[in-house]
Amino acid sequence: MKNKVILALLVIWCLGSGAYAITGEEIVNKVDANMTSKTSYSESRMVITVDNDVREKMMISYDKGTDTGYAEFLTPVRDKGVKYLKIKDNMWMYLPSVDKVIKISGAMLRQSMMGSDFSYEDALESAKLLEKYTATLISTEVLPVSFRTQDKIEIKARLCYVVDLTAKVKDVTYYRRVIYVDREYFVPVKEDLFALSGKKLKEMTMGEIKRIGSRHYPMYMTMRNLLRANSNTELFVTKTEFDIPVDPKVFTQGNLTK
Amino acid sequence: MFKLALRNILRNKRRSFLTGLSIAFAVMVVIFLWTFVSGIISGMFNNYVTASVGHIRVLNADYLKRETMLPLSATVPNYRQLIIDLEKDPNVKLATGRIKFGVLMDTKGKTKPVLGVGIDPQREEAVLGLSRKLDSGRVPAAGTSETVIGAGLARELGMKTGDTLTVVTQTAHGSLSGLNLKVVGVFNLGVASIDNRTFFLPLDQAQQLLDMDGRVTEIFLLIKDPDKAPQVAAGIGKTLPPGLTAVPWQDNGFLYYMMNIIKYLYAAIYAFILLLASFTILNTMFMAVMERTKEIGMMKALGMREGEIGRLITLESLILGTLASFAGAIGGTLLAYYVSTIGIDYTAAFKSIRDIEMPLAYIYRGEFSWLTILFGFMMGIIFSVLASVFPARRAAKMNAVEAMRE
Repeated sequence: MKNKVILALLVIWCLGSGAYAITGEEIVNKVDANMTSKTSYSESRMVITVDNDVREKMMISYDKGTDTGYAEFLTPVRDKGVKYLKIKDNMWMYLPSVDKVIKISGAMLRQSMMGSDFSYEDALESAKLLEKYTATLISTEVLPVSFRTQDKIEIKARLCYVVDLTAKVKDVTYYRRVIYVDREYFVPVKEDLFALSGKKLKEMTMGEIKRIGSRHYPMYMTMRNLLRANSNTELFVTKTEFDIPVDPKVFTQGNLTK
Repeated sequence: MFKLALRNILRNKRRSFLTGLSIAFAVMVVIFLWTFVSGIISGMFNNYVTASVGHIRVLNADYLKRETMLPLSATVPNYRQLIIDLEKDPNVKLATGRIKFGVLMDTKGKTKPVLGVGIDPQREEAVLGLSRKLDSGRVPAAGTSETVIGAGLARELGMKTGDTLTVVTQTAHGSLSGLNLKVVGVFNLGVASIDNRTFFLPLDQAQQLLDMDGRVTEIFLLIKDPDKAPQVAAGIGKTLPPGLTAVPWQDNGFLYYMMNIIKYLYAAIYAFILLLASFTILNTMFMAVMERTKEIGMMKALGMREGEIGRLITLESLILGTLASFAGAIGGTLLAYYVSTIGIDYTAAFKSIRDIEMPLAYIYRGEFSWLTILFGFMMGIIFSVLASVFPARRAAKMNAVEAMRE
């Protein structure tokens, strides 16, 4: 109760003063710092639900910095061995059934990745938001956020920054994005993506925030492409490690065909 | 009188021969052109029907709305059972599942949209009849990663039988998927819009590639009477599971519109051919009888009555017309047979306009029909007789002296 009163006062103070102690840009930078690392490895399970059809895919991925990544699908059988490589703005996909590397470019970038609600572009543009968007802190809001400690999941009411990102250029898929960032841990907990027309295109939420070393990291993510009827993609991170040594060969095209 | 008529015909062999020749020629031309023109019409219809629209297609209603996009998300589930149910309908001759999907292929640096069609190789023998339309190789077998590609497409891709065609496309669920297909044959349906951009593969392979187990994009139906397709489709529509719809070929605006125009166009051509032929026969016969005014006058002078003369001339025309039409019919039959089996090859003429989106064939074949031949034959006789009636009566009515003086 006492907490809530302080919180409310804090909100009133923030709104009343009309100025926050932090700028939108700083928030985005802090989120980047928290979410990315020199290197990382993770194992995850992707669950794609369209109407009553549920598909599950297991994958592993390696990341280096903010713009280099590698992912490989392990299941189901028809996707086994499908690999992705991203380096800066380029993305390649390896299809084992035809032993072929395909460069994902152009209009294809906006299409669904592995049948999920994520597009290739969504996977590519993670960082670098500030190059294309102007960040403005517009308000703070209290949101329910789930946390994970050991095997327990707890939902807490958390104060979040609401940051508006408006594109500086028009040739972006999402002209406007609104990110909700946990005020204490700088973990994004929700993101709404809008088209130039103002229509909401996608809705992403993150949760099951877990403390890993010095950082807090969301182990669960769900994405809804609102243009696809009754569609929803969930991503469960089952294992993740940061700043571990990764063979640089992992991030090469040679590794795709191996 | 028959004897007399025959003797009259044989008396002036040259005149009878020339008259008969032009009648025979007219009959032959009518039979030939008729056969050829009906062949073009039905050939066009058949090519378009068997390759794309069928007599009736059963589709997902959502698919129909976005058909040009070939959406794999709106499909026909549980197609095997549906085919069994559809074939129970006494109007239905055959039902078979197909999957149509788009693929982008590299041809000499350019990306070209290509149409993949998953078919049931056995059932399609009665529809597409690919095995009879191969330039080389054979038809793919069900359950194998084999394909047969269009002659135009093969040329553009620089492929031949034995090569591997790599197909990469999006599955029904949106992920990318690929399949290596062995080219076991090159087909030539003789329709530019199909031969230049289509490959056929076994249905099961398409389902595997597109992640569409047990599903097809359409069920293709041939029915007993194509003209009744709208009624049959309406009947079938009522029995279909929700979400599916039956579309008769008449709903294909382009084909229906075209077939209607073509029907009128060819009706005009038929009429024109008929007019020309009948005019030739009338003219020749008329001249032949007019020439004999003197002879008729002589007959009259010798005591033949008007009616008798009229009948004699008509009989002569009937005999000559029948003989000539028979000869013409034989010639016409031979020509019709040639044009309907071997056809006339327009490949060279079509080289420059290969990409036209019309169901036009390279090789035109006529449609051989005994009815057409009988028609030509009867037409020859009827016009011969008709043409002789007037001049014969005129000559018979004339005063014998006047007629002889002419």
